[in-house]
Amino acid sequence: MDIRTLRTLIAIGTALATFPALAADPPILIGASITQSPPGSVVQGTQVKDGMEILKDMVNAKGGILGRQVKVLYEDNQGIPEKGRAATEKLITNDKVVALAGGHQSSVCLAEIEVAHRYKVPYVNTNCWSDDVRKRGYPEVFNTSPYNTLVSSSMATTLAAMGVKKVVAFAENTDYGIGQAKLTGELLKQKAPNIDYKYETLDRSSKDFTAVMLPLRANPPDVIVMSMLPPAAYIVMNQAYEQGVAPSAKTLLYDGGGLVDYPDFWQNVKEGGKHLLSFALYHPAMPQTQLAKDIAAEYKKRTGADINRLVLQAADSLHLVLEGIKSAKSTEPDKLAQAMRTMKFDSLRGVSNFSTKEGFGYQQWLDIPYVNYEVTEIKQPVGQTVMLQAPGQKFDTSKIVRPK
Amino acid sequence: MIGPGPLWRDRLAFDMRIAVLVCVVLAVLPLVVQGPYAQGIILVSVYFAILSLAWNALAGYTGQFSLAPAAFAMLGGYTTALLDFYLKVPLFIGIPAAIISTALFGLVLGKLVLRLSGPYLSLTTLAFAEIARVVVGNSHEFTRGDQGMHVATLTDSRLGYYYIFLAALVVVLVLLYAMLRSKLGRFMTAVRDDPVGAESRGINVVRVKMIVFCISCALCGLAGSLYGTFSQLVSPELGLLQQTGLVLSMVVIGGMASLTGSIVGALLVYLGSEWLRSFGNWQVIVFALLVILFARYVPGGLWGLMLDRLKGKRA
Repeated sequence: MDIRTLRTLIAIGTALATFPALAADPPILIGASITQSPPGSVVQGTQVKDGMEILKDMVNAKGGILGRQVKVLYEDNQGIPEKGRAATEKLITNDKVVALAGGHQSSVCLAEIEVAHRYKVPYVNTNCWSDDVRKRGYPEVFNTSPYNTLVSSSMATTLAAMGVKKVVAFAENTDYGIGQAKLTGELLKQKAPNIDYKYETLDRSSKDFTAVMLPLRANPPDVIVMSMLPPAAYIVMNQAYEQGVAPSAKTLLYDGGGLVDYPDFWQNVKEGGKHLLSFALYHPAMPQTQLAKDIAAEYKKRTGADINRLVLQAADSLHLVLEGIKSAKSTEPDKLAQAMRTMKFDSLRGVSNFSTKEGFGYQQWLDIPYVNYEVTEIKQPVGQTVMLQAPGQKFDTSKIVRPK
Repeated sequence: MIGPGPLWRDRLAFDMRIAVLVCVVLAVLPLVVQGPYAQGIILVSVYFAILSLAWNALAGYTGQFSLAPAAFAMLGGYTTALLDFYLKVPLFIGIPAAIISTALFGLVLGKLVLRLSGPYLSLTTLAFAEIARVVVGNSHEFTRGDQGMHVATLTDSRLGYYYIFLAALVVVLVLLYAMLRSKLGRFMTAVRDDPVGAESRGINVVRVKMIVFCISCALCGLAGSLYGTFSQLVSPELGLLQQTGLVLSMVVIGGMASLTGSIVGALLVYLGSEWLRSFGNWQVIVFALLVILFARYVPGGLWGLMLDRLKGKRA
């Protein structure tokens, strides 16, 4: 082989080697503005990222979408609306993401959807419960997240079914807490006007709630409803237990925030968590698609923990975007939004159709499945809790186990 | 260009010339820096520059350390938002109303605290800032609590907003320059350098502090109000102590008692904070360390450093 032939072969080899790299399409970029540092909820941000990463890896392992790999770009918004606004703008205008998913704090979502609306880029709300996110009526915003009206309505129905007479709600001083407690009260007026209901607003940064516990010792309600998030919720639960207020033979504790789902729940709450009734968006007994089961297995493999509703919600948000791209056969934001609006979406938690009615139901998956269960043992896995209300079933009050 | 002269008036004039030069650079920057995200970052830096100038007028030139600039910006933002939300008051009235309301808040707070000195003023304004934020956050029925309030916008054009903020910065700059050149400016520095001496020479120290405090609060209110219309949302997070911390670090790094220092400090710190966003709260540690280092080794900030270099060259 002479030197000329060798050179030619090297040139051909180099060209062949670089060809796939040149021919490969760039990845599809999806943006996620999440909380990765305080003062926002880092626990939530981590779970959202976990859910999206697992699904993304699974999709990429199967060849991606439209022959392209999927990449999720994360930006830390610290749970601050201004940071969320800037992060969303960066993702859209600098990084050129085709859609956004992962939003998980209402005040931040409200800032971010303004940007998504301005640039007409699809935005999937993963866990912003405030009804106001829907009430803006932005056609780019899709809501797979639970919403306050759903939770309050379910809780009011449950309380009515329990036949209780007096209910006190502890609401943290946030839109979530006060919004949920107020709405529950309004719905109770319709469903069970005979229930004496009031709510106490508690400062989420406070460490001592003795002042609100003491009157309840003298005059205990039948149920204390918790519209609070960690860490304040843990402190309230521990103090309610230590003061002998709830859970007790007289007073049940009913949580509307999915506290048991938090990975640090049992580290912070011991006896006080026993006999907690919980409205929940995830239970292993709920119907799940094979993909959801695969994600749960992968989550267990990666973190050693059981999957929870937020990880699934996050995966579902990304799943919606990817299914939308498949359906639209395009990553153009307007075509993608149109596909997401009209396609039949097989979500991880059941088939979801987006409502078009104005108000809290705008582009919202209305029939998000939920359950009610009771934790009867410390560190009890969710799958072993007592199911009080299976999805689509009525609340069974006879199954409630009261503390002795 | 004429270097900094030995007289206060000359130094101020030199400072103003450089500050105007920075504004000119900012004005032509959109020709180079394009894209709404990058322009948005510089725009928010200009918002912080106005806050820094307002705080510097009080702390740098008058020696009064308030810890509430972000809280007054939040109050300004909420004034415009509440007027817009409940009364549909147009923004050309809502923005001036924010200036007036924050000046009045400043007047009331000033009456209570400006007779205090040393750490007491800082502690009282710190308490006010936290109380204001908690009250706004807890008044769910009125302010919609932590989810914030939607605010109308002045324009949908990013470039339009950029120049609105820049115009506001220039107006604030000119106002402060005029104020510092006037008799009030000399009284301010006298109060800062020797309040007892100033009092003995017939200067009404409390009155001077009060005027500057009200003006500083009003400027913060203007910044907060404009910012609310830009982001179309005001929330209690606007008044976080962390935001005040950013303003303080901007002034310390840029240079106390300097117009240019406030602007340059705001630009550098905010751009740095955005650049360091992926490092989460490490950015707070980075800026805190920078503030400590500057306060210890470069008390005049970058502006002081530049003046020293110019002096060295001249010598």
